[in-house]
Amino acid sequence: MGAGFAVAPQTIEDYVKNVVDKAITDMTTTATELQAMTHASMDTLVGQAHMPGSTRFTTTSKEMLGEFFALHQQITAGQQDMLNKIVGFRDKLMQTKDTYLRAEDEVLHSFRRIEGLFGGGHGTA
Amino acid sequence: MAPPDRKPDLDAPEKYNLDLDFHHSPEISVWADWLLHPEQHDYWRIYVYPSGDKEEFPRRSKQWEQENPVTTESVIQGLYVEQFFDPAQGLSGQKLGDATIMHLTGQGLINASWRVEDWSDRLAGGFEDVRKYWDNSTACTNAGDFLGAINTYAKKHAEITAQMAVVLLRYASTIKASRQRLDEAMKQLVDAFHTKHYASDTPTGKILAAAISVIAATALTAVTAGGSSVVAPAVAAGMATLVDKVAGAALEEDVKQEITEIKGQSWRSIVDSYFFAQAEILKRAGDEVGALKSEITKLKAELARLAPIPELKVGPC
Repeated sequence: MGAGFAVAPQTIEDYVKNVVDKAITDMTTTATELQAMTHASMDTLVGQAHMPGSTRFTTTSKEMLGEFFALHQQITAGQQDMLNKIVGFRDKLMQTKDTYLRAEDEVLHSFRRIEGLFGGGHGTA
Repeated sequence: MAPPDRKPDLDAPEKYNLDLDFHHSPEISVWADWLLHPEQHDYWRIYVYPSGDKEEFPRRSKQWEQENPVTTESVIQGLYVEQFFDPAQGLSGQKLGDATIMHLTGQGLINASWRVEDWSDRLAGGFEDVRKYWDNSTACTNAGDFLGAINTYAKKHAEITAQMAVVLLRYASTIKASRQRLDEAMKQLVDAFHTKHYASDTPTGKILAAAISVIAATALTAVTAGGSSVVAPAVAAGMATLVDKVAGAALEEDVKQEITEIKGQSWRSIVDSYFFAQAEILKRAGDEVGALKSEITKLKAELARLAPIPELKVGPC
């Protein structure tokens, strides 16, 4: 496993803390904002229809906004999926980091034991 | 100014559900009602002869009525007051200001766009070092492909959410600009009524249409600073400011967009020219909303073509 230790564990920690967690925070805020919008009342966006002239315009507006909010819901769902996947990615990353740390501890322990055998000053039993 | 012995109908905005951007409904309402009811005054009316011929008279003539077998009708017979406000009603009710659904939705989409853009590259780029570890370890993972897919997915989402904000801004700006032009048409109608009645002259006044075609490009620039995903400073000012800015650009460019003139010898011809103008303004607004619907359909297709993000796999080889 030695070649795999080219990257210090801290790098993973920094990456998670500074990049992944930041992305998750941003995405959570975004998901919350977008989900709030899907409950928006179309009435406040469409306008009124009382006579034939305005009815045509209002119908077109309703159709357009209906499509708009359908797409909005798809986008919201996609953002939520992306958020869930990145949270999963973070969890895997942290699990891997822990595995890595345990491995390093074992190697370090072995080195120190060898040093102790050859009379080094830092041996640990 | 109102007709003789009448006052502007201050209840008209509420009675006809008109947006506050329409300032002349109290005068139009009272003028239309006055013209529709010659039996309530001694001014403008049409005398209909037995032959069916009609003649517009500025004053009632009791002598003429006694000497001729005429019947009296309104100079705008057959119309309704509501017809003067039909397109205005279509352009009323939509809330365009700050802290409205329009504002919150637009701002939410713009925020989603720049936030995603902000982290997606760093997420993929920052993983490069970590990837080295995973590549050389006993772990097998598709994390590289996974993050690549996230990056592609995120960038497309950023693009589509920005475009959706542009669509919403175009919609709001179209309504705003059309309201302003319709309000001007209403003002010119009132001026025409004054000219016709008080000056006994033939009114004339040009009606311009907002250059709706300008709105698309201006809205795009306002949201994305010209196509890149950098949010323009104007966005921070809020939706109402953006709408004013984009609608203002359309109104500045409208000098060649002349629709018609509010003019005519008779009351009916004046009113007809106004009806034509208001219908044309609403039609152009409706055409733009129809174009926005096509734009949304296109964005939906783009989103549907986007490959789903794969499941992340990490485990022993």
